[in-house]
Amino acid sequence: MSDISPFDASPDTELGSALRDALEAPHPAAFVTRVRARMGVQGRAWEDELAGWFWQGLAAASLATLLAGWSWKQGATVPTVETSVASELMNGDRTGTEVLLVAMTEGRR
Amino acid sequence: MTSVDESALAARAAKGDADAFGVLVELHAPMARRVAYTILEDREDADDAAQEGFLSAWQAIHRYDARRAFRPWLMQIVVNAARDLRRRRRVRTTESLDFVAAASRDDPAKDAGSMDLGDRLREALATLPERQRLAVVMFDAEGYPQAEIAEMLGIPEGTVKSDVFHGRRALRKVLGSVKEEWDE
Repeated sequence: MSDISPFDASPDTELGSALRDALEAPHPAAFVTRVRARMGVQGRAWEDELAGWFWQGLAAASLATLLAGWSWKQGATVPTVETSVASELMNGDRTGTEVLLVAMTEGRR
Repeated sequence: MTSVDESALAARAAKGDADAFGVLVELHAPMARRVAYTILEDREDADDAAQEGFLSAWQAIHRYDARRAFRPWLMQIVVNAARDLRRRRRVRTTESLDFVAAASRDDPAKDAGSMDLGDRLREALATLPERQRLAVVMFDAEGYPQAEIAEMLGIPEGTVKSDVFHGRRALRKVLGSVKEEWDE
């Protein structure tokens, strides 16, 4: 056709409409139902599901780490000094410790 | 194209909303089936490929970049699915297709005079190389810009222009002759 130029950048609406009619597939609703049914059966690949949850998982893990760090810090600030018998004996401030130490060493012999 | 916000639907679909993706399927199914048919030239194969394309898109929807248009992203997946299917079919059925093609050429019912415009255009399309078919259908029938077609098919824009020109010329001849027949 003489009116067609290689540089024509606008679609040929008449030809386009005729082509759409010629290529139109029957039963559009049935096709959509078929695809939707397959989507339900197939679902999404597990690695894609995991990828989808990655950022949520990362945020949850960060929050959990922060909470754990905070609670650990809180626990560390409370003084929990336990006095054992050994430390009392080694200290030697209390009365009677010398007697007790001698008794213990005598007992070992 | 439509009043539906496709990016919003795609964003919902990316979060696993199957209903949102279902709306996108409904919107784009006619075009996907036409494009798949352009490549495969068989209704059943075209539907299989279009379905495969939609399911691949559903699986990859989280990778879709919402800043870009959804339609070309989806159509590229459909084109790839159709080309994959054609490759698989070609391996299995080369001989039988040759037989069918020869039979249809000899069939008197396929004479030009007994065919409607749709049949004539489909037959004319079948004589064109696949790339020309896709270029002219995507440009004239589906309204894609030439640059987008070039990106989808992985060819230079100048090649798309040339393919549209040659494809159009062949199809215009058919359209013109049918119109002449109608006028007689």
